[in-house]
Amino acid sequence: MRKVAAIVIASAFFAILLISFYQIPQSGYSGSEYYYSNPITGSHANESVPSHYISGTKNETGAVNAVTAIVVEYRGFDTLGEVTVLFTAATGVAFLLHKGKGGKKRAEANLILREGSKLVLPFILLAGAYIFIHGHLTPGGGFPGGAVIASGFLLMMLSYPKFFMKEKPVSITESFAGITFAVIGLLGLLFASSFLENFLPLGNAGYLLSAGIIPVIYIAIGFKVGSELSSIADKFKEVQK
Amino acid sequence: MVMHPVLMIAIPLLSAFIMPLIKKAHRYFAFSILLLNTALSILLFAKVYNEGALYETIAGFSPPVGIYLAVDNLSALLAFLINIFATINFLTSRQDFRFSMLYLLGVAGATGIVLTGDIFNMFVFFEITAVASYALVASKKDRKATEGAIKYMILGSVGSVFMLVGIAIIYSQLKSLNLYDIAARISSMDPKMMWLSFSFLLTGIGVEAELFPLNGWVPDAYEGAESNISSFLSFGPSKASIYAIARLLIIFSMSRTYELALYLGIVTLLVGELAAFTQKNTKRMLAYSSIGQMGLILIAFSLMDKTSYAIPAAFFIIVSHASAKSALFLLSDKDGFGDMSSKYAGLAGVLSLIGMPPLAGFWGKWYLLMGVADEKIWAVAAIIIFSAVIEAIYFARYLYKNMEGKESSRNSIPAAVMVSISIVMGILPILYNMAGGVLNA
Amino acid sequence: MIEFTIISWIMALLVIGAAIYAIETKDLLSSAIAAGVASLVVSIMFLILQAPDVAITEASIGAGLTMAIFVYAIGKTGRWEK
Repeated sequence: MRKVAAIVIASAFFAILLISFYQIPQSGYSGSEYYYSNPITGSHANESVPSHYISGTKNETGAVNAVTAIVVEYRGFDTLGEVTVLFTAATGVAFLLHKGKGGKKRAEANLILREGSKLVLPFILLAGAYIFIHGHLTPGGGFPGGAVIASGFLLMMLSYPKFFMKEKPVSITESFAGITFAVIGLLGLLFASSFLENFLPLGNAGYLLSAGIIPVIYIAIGFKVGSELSSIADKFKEVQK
Repeated sequence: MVMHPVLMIAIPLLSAFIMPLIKKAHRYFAFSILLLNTALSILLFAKVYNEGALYETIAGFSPPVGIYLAVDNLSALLAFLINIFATINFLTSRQDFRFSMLYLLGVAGATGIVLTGDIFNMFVFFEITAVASYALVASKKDRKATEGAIKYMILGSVGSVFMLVGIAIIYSQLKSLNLYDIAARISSMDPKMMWLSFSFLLTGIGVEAELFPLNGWVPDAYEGAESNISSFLSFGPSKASIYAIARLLIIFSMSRTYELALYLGIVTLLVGELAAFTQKNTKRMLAYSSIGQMGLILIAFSLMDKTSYAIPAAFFIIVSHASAKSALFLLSDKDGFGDMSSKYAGLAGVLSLIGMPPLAGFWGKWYLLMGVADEKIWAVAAIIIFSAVIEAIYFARYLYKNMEGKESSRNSIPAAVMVSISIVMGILPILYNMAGGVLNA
Repeated sequence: MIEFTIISWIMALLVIGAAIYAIETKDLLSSAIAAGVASLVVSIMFLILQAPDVAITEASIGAGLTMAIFVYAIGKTGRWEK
């Protein structure tokens, strides 16, 4: 009975979503119906927000990757928030699971897995670092880069049952990366006019050293996400019985 | 004077990041940050009250492109309330540094919800405060706390997904995330899509705001959590999210959405109060009573478009509920009010909740009834009075049970301070004018 | 363009199938793996839709880390749903 009710509700919900999906107007970015209004001055612009993102990215932020420009510059405050969500989750996991170490012995992984993972670990870490350092030039950025790094450590945890993340360096990395992000935001308040505003020279778009604060923030995010995700995985491994 | 409301969000976040480095002094550090935040919120309110609504752009881009914070009288007052109660409540914590971190993050998130002027930014702060609350509820680490936290977490994450879909629908239609911009152009949206996004957003926020069909987690989480965490939940996330619903109603501002909110509020009120009436367990009784009060606040907000009494009414109910209910939750770790300060806190808190003049709860109900009478919707007035009578009965029972008790709570002095704040705010009807000021957008 | 449509349909059916299997099966370990498969297919869909940033994140978090955490949690509790 419950199952039938669940199926009925789920399919009704699915139908509603499908119908509304077909109702979404398919028009593109341009067109004057998407003008926006500025709440502070009360003026109207004849451009939609997405088209502003596409046309303004290079001049306003110096980044080539528009997604990065949106994530770190236009909506950088949201990114600070999202990093904090992950930080909160990692802290919560550590808070709830920090008791009970050890656990049952697991068999050693076989030779090929052990040596192979030792061999690929540096390359995984390198790929992660590449992804977050080049966030303003190529697809990717702090979150994916950090996740790739964490998956490298995860590989080590899987192939070596005795592999542990040392708690202290991980939590110090995490803290310093977070502090860097927040302090850059506050420096923006100090040197420029608002929180998280760019205060470094933009440089030539397309070069590694360009786009002002974006690479700095993305490196901080990369370290932070990497250390947080690997510490979450490590905490779950630690309490295994 | 230059005032940056963003500091009230950025400084707690920064100090939560610093916390693992200074494990020893974490309690003093967190307390001083909360005090600083309270001071900033007072300055912010003074500025907003004198100069009108305050906008702060972030990252230097003009609003619809970038994010901005929009502070009006009501949100400045709510930020003040959340931060001052958080400061007082923090005095009762006895946990390690991770607790202080999570607590700071939760407070920063709740402050962010009331200050931000961007709907996606609001979602992010919802996430922060919700994730912090899940961990805080589970911090007692026994069976009941874990059960409450898991229920809260499942409902809360489903709610976040709903909210995200609602935001995505709005963005797909209007290409904007700015609350003001959305409000200005909402009428150009297809009404079907408007209803779809409204119902998604209401469902998502409704989980945190403890509205009727979505509040299954409330009694378990409040009962299972440590008493200071129940207190935190009742002044932090729930108050911030009911304010988010108020902003949502203003954005959509159709008479039908207000009507829907009114019915939802009435159902929530009745269900909460009747369930509280039948409860034997003190904390569950208080939790159900919270649901009822949230319904009352929603009723007040849903009359916003009709009468000017609505916003002051909602504000006073929020003050009375945030202070008195938090104090009662703080006292609920022991059965009975043994010493003088807990007797005082319990008595004054209950009197404020059931609406005795001249306490804040009275002004809330008084303005609400004035507003309802202006509109001549007598059925609503009858329901409000009926629920007030039920409330009076079960709170009388509660007082009778507790006044006899010999044990006294360790948290009696912070609780007394909280209730005193509500008394001070209640006897200052001057606040009527302050709260009645412009509500943004 | 027709091949993109076909691929998208296959992917969509795969995601739905994996999701339903993840819910219905009593074996939590296969449920976690099915959820990982769904994430992986979704990440390929992101790639086809020209969102490489999201695709990288989804592949490493959805298909990698989340699944590993699920597996650790299952190792701590029990493999079979009661």
